[in-house]
Amino acid sequence: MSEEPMSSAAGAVLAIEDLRTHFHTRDGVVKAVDGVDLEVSAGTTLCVVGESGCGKSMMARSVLGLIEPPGRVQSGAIWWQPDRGREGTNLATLDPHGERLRRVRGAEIGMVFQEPIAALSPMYTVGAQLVEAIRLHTDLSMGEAKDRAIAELTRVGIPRPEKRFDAYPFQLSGGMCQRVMIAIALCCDPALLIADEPTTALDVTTQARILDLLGELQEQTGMAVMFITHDMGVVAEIADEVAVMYLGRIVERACVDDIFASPAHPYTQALLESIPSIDGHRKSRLAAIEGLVPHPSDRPAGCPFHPRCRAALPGLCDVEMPDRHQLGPDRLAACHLYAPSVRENGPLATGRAEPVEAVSPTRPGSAVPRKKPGSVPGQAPGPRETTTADVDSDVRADADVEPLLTVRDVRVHFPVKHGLLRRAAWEVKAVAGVSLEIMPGETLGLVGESGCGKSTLGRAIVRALEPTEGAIWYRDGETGPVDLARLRGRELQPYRGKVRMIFQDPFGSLNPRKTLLQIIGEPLRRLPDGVRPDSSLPDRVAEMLRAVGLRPEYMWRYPHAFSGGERQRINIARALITQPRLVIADEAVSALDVSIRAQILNLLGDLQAEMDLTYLFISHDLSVVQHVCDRVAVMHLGSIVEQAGTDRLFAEPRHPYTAALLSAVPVPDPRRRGGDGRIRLDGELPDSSDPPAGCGFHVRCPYRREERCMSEVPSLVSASGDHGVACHHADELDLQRPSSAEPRARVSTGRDDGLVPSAER
Amino acid sequence: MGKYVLRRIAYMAPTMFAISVVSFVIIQLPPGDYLTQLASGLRERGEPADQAYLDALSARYGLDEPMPVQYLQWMKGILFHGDFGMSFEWNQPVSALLADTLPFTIALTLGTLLFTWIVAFPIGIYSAVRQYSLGDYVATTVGFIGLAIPNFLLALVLVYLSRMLFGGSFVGVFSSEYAHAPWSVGRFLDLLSHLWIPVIVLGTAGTAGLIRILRANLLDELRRPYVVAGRARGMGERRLLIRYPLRIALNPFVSTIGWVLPMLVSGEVVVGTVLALPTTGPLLLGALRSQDMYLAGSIILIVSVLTVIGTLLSDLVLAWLDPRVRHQYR
Repeated sequence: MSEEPMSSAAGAVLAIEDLRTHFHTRDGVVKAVDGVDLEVSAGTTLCVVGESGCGKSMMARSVLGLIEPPGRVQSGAIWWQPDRGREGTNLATLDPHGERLRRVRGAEIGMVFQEPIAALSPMYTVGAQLVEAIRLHTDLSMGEAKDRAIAELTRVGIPRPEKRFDAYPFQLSGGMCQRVMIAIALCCDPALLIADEPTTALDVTTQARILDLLGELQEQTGMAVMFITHDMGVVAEIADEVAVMYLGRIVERACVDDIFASPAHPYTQALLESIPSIDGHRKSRLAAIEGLVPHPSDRPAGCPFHPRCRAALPGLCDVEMPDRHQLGPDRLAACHLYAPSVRENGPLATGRAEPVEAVSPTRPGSAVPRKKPGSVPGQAPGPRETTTADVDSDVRADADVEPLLTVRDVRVHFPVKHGLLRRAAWEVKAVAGVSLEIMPGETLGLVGESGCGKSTLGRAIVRALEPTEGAIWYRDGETGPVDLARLRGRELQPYRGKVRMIFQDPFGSLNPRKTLLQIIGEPLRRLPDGVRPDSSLPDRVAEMLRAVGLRPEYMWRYPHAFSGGERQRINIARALITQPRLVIADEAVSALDVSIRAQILNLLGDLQAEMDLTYLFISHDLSVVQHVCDRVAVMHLGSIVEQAGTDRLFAEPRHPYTAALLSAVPVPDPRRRGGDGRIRLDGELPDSSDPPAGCGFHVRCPYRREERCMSEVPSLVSASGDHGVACHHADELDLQRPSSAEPRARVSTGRDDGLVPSAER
Repeated sequence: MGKYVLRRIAYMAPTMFAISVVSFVIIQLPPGDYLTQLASGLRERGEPADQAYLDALSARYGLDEPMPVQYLQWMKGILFHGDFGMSFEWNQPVSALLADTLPFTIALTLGTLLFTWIVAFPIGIYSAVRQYSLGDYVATTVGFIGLAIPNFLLALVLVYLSRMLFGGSFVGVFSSEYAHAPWSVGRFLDLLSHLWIPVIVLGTAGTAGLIRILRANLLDELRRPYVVAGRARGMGERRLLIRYPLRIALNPFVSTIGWVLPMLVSGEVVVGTVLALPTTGPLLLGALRSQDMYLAGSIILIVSVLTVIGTLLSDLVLAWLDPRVRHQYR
């Protein structure tokens, strides 16, 4: 029998059997979770991965009875047995509002959510919410509960817990709030922690520290963890077991090493291929999964993945639901490729996908031709007919090519009003003196944590903001150099079409009351030689829609009809309709799922080649930056701390901050988990209204020295060739092996904001 | 918090000034003044106006001074002597007329506000928590009817109904036997038996609006992640509702003062007239008709100032209740 009997394995604290959670809506039944079998064992971490809309969260919420009407757990069992000695309970049969399930929630199973700030009520201090959680499940008095709460805050690494106890959630950063959420979830020592995308909304450095914290806490308490994520890098970092979910079902289950070494299900393979890996080939096309996750209400017949599957067998996959096939001990895949009949008859001989035994070290399928997701009919002529893959970081070394944009010592300060008369009491120096050059045709990456001023700089360049000081020289060969920073009002209009911006939030950045024709056509009307609404506008919008891979007839629709990925295409179309030279992509793919992200990145690459575009690519995601950028500038606290060609920067970072950012990126390879050379930054980005004296990074820098760092501001020095670094001691640091160069002990810093106390413990 | 209060009070000064100027302009707006009105009235009755008498009146009330001087005199009287000027029509100081009507008006307004809150609060919560239940539909329907019926019509219907059902007249404030009696328990009960009609009439529209607002706000809050998070840590439904979403959904209740007060004041003009209440509303109407502009301007001024103060109070209570307001506008 290929069907695996899902007996609850020894040691499993949670065993889900054939769980089905359905939503009974007016338009029919939506099967969000449709037959999930899972086990989580004590002391281990199970990662549930899949794109958005695959039912991961609904599955997790079903465990705690948190499904809201019109949804309900239709059938299946959720066996909960935290204590070997006691008999297990079927949580699925308990009343969702009942006392028994309420005691399980919080006391036996803790849960952490995606948006840490939104998951805490703004009306109460974090301390009050933590005390409440403690007192729900214990008999402690108010005072005892407060002591316990402060101990919990200390345990999750919150500095000065007595003070933070009285802070409101909106006064803390996202990372701090997530620590509070973890403290609330763990305050009653649950046997299982369900973490629903707990780090997705966080910066990469914060994410790394939260993952470390979860690992440490798991070691201390021996709890089981069910971790939901769409990020394969995170999976590689923390998982013991992996369950891949697609449209309400588990399509593959295996231990983490097997998943990464030899993914069996085509969906798992596709997910792994769509990650822009730090080791991957730069500027090559990403293997995006075609299309979107369909809505659960129009689940395809047969195998739900077959319309997007490159190995789909016609006549089988689109008709019959695949069984689960046992591929080894604790290894399952729900795919027809592993059915004995298919294996014998050998449609696999065509080499479209390989069963698990035959998987070679290089992943299968990359040679399979596929449709380009954003393929464009007709080639736009351009002077530079090079493909993006050819553009190397060395292109810009040509001395006679003038930069398209030269940013000289730009500062953007925001006044903070204070006191009875609202005078500007001090300034937030969001951008504190940045100089940059962007060469025509290149992609310059701008990376840093949130709050470092990278978006402000981008907005100053498109002149959505007025820089406080400095010059932004723009030269495109048609006109002489123009200082955009000096232009006002109408004088800027000619340049509004040449320097454009793509925004992060695909939902907030499109006016819901306008059609695509109005949205995309609007920038044209604003130009001095603007197109009149009657004439060729619809034609140009149609052409642009085609270029970004959308159908021209969509121009009459409104944004709500489109998914996040499609809206980002609309955003791109709006940015490119004026035929700009420079496009500023501000976190343009950060809000997107991994497969959609790959599609959009491919589209941006294609359009760059076709339209001869220059990109300033602002992102906190280093793997994406490495994939698309020719050069990278690293920003910290309003200044550029390091700047170099992408390969160089990623191979030999010279600033400790760059090295720390790089080591915070989860590597999608479980074998390199917890590897040497990790740097974890102490604390969070300092307050830019009160920057530390000397090097802005010194309060967080593990290599801080007494001389110079605390008193003297380092300037960006080009050490060799194009590699600039703003660090007093860059030449002496050996950042490739920091663990051997310096002990991992954290340096205690002058500011205790956000210190990670794990070192002290 | 102290600074916030001080700043908000300081912000009130220019608003108050603007209100006083506008009130004064309203006083001066109609062509002519009380004297021309008086003169034409005399002429109509066939008595030729005595120009010397008119001039004497004009000099006495400063009507021949330039506008800014008149304004300053008016304000000086109000601020330093509580003197709002003379009502020409009643031939009494305006302050005396106001002393008769204003306390009752304020009591009626506050009573209506309380009624609005007490009725809207449970119904709004019920409507949101049991969205699309029968009770929600009933509350919604009744609410829309309440919003749609004009005040004066409701007043007439209620007066008619009360007369049919209970007998006796419920128009006015007191029954005839208590009209001039000294205060006693009986007089107070008599007052309450008359007060319910204007309170319901004035409060219906506000109540209906508030139910809709509370329902919409609470529905928004009920779907927030922190509610699910509270449930996930094992909180009971009732406690969760009261402690978390309701706390935020309370904000519009406090803000109501800002918009319900002016609505009550303007609604009260019509209702007060229909029900023959001794409030400022009918007084204002009469004053506007007879161009008794000192009386009219004074009422407008006082009502506007009270509204500004009410709004200030609601903002301060909001800051006290909501830490986001408190900490963001320090």
